[in-house]
Amino acid sequence: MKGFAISLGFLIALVFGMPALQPVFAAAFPELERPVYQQDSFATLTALHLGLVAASSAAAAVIAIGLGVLVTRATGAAFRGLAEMLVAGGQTVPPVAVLALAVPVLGYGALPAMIALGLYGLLPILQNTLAGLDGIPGPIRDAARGVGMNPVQLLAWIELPLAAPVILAGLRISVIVNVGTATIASAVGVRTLGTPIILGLNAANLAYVIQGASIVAALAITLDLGFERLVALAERWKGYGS
Amino acid sequence: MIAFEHITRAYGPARVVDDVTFTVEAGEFCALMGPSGSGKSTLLRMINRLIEPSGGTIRLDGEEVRHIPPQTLRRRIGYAIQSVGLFPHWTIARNIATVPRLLRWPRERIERRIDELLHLLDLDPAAMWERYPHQLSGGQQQRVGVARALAADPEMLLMDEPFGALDPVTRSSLQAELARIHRSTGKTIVFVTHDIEEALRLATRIALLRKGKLVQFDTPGRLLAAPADDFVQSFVGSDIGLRLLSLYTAEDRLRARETAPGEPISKEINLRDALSLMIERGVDRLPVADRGGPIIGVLYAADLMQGRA
Repeated sequence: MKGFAISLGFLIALVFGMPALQPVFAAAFPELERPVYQQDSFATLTALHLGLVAASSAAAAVIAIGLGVLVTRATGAAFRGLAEMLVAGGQTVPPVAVLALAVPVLGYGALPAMIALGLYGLLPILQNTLAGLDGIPGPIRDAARGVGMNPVQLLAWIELPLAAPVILAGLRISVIVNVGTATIASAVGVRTLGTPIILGLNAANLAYVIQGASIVAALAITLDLGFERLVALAERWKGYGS
Repeated sequence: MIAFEHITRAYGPARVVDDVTFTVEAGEFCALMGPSGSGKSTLLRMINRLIEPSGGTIRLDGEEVRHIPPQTLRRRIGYAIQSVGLFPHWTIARNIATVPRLLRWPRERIERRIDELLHLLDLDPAAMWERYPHQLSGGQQQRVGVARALAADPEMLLMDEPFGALDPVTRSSLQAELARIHRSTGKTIVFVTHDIEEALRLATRIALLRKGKLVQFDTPGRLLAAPADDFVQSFVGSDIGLRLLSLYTAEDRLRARETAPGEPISKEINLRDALSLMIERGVDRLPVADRGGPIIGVLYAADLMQGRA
């Protein structure tokens, strides 16, 4: 709990305090004319980065959880193997390759980036949705049907809440990976925290790379700890008393 | 009233339930008994359509269950299984409220009902609103399971080995509780068990199954005194005499308005325990008292021997 607050404080300090570190970077990299990235504010870049991550992860979550629920129903069970295979395939294609393939079709911009990131993020969410739903003991489902729940009530009241901690754990992995991977979206012209990194690499400006990367790292750690709290919230019934 | 008419359930060539016909009258406590694989659980689950029969008809008060939508049917019938059937992420109160909530009862009515049931099943009402199933003992969890099954005041209760996972002491106290609930509510109960003691103690009638076929459907007394075949005989075991005794209470055999020396026994004690007490005390008669009250008669050892079922 404390870790989350500390890490959030550190992230905010980095985002808004980067210009104040000018003397530090100037001392460390005396050969650089402008040692702190200033084309955009880091607050803007962080907001855009988060927006891209949120949109692509949300899309991945809706698709993966929806698919997971679908193939664990009696009517969708036949497609389970196919779904797992397709999604695993999505994971093996590197997002850079997806970007390279998407750009000629969709042009530069946020859309190809979202598709690449979304595809890459499906697998952990789908796997955990399946594991979470499979892990519900048979007698609990049996009891739920036996007292007269319809399939929707069974899903919404029993299955999803019981699988939630495992599903959230999958979402956590997906989002954390996405935060790092989203930097490459800058290669197709989307402004993210990857913009200073890519610019820095092209211009041999190590200071820019450090600035972009350190905020990405702080963002990933903060989100990770935030998810830890969410998972704890989803299974708080386990903690009572025992 | 539940009528099974030529009920069959086949999985491929295997007939798990094979042409079973019998009728459980309203208010009866019917035990479905048999070794594992005898089809007793399958038979039970066909009543609330968790399993559909391959052939035959089940009627509730004359109405064919296949014409009742499954969810409607199940909300009318209490269903209790082993304690693992509780929803672990819901408090005890919410678990009990499951069916009333499905039936959209108003909140005050649900809360009043939860309170009633917690009292009925001897669960501490103050604690149960906050607690989760995993914080309860196995016996308490099972009480909650029974409370949940009773919540919407269903016409009948289906119970699938509800006490199977409990230690003997807890099991025995819950059996007594269930017998009390059956007496006080008069609900029809169908109860799956593989434990002959449990069936003899609780049931008004026992349906004994073997490999999907109904072997005998009779009162406990008749099952012991007149087993239909060797299978029934071997299933009820060797202590038939003592088991018969355990079906009757001191009240059934006492000689009224007499008295005898010694510590009086309760009129509700069963004859098997009474006989054991006589042997322990080295006497041939015991004074019988009305639940903590005055002595109402005497139980003689000689009277234990007469009047078989």
